[in-house]
Amino acid sequence: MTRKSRNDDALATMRAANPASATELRGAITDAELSRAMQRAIALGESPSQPIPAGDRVAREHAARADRGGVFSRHRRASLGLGGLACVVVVAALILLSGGSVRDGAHPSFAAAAVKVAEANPRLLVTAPGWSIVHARSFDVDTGGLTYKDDEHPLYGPGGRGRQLNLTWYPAGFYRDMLREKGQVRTRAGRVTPVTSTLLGQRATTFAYAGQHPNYATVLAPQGDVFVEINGSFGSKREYEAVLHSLRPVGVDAWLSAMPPEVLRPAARSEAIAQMLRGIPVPPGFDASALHFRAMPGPSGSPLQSESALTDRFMLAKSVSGAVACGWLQRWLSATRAGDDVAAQEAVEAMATAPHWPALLRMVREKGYRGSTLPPHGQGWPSEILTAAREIAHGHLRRKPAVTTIYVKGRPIGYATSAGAAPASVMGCL
Amino acid sequence: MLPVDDSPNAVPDVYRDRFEHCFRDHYAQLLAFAMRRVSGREIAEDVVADAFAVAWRRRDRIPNPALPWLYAIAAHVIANQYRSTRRRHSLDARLAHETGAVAPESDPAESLGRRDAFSAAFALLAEPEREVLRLVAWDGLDTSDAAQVFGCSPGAFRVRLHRARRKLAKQLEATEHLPRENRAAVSNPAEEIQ
Repeated sequence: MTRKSRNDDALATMRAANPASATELRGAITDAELSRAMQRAIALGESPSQPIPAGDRVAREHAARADRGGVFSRHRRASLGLGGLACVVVVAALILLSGGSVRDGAHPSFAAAAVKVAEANPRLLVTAPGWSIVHARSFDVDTGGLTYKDDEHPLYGPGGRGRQLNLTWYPAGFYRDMLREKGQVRTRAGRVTPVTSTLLGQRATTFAYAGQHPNYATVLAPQGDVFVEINGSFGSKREYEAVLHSLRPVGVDAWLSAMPPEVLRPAARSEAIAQMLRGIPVPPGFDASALHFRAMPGPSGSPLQSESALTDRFMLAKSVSGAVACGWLQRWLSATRAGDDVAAQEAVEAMATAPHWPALLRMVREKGYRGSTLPPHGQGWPSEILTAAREIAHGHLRRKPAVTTIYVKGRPIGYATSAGAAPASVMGCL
Repeated sequence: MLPVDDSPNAVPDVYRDRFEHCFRDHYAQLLAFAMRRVSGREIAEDVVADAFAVAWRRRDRIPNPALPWLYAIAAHVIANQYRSTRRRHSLDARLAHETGAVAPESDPAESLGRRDAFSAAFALLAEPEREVLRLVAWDGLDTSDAAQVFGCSPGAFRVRLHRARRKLAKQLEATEHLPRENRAAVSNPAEEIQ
């Protein structure tokens, strides 16, 4: 007997010795027994006094594994274009960290601001099997987005890693612009003809973009202060519509509970901030609880700030590293003006360690960079901090060109960053 | 806003259907999974109830297919809540005796002999090796799904499976040559490991 056949034989012997057959059990279990078992499981699951930590952790980890990837589609990016600006970032969340405060009201496990977002939102969830929210980066009362993914589907998505549906909400004032922009997109087949229908009792305008990976977008008519845009790449319109019609409006708690595990709720936030601050020198008097992502000048010149809603680790890392960097840059400015060379040098030396800040390294590693030091030049957030560090080392912190705040109907909704903008301005320090 | 009533009684649980389908489709498989790992049907039913309680809490995230996910949850429920108690008495030493599920043999004496030999050989494997074999031979998972349940990469799982099969074959060969009374003696120390 060969080794292989001996091994096969061992497995066959084991199969034959199966002590419990699912087929036999299925035949033996009555409907009443099954219903009782289901009621028992649901009662256990509902009972807060019955934690099942091990199983719960596994369920979360498996869900987290499904959260990888996720990029906005070409059409989604096109829809955000505001023409002529080198870089436009719609500030979906002007996040001001709440320092872990928890609302004691009707939804005690969520921050008050998160509840506010949920209350003002259409709160649509995809209920088709296999779908879950994998990204919730933007999160504000009238602007934000969720990415749903069916990670198990073998045929679609980048590298066959599942289908994706983006659901974005915008201020109602953008509705007509959105329809116009979507209708202007040209494909090989020519201009896209919108098709109107009714979805969840609302007027829905659907655009089908033909191509190798057909893309579909549906814009729902405004309800209150917001309207919703849904888009995704699917094999056929039928598939898209099947997922679209599985959208259901849900309550505040159900909607907030459906957020992906990577989204940091207030209770997890202070611990995450402490972890991100490890290995980063902080300026004297630095107050972690006052961390904020960005304070954008409002119409009256006063900083426009909003209470923290939800944020994920990437955005939180941005706010943590930005707050520390701004603290050092402001200290350098004050010390320079006051002629305090010691304090200025301290700020220069602290900022010189930025290439090794673990929080920044982790951010760029997400994009594939490996190593223990950030590269000297690059794109994105860490580069702004490194550039500012170099500027103060050379004795001059640039203030211009500054970022430009974008207003719609007198209301700031985002900011535009031109190429070569002063990093201190990009970081919101000045 | 869309008309949604937030009172608990009025909010439709949009994921309940998904959970109920999942429960009806997989209850028997999960019960069999638990019965292969813990002693007694009652305890197995406890495991399944705990596993589905977790699935209920995560009903918005039930993947498709759900079975490997459910198996992973149940495996961890067993590992963390039953391993440390005497309730988790391995079936390994009494595999076919209770259920009567045996390989078809023409001679009942030969059948009994093979079962004893297998029980003894299986009990001599390390627990991770046994689990790898259980997932494939009894739970009927392919290596990709089994790796998900086991918590490693499919490649690493294939290596583990290959080694476990080889070791089981060796043990089977060795125990088949032992007298029956000695096989029982071999299996007892393995029970102690549990």
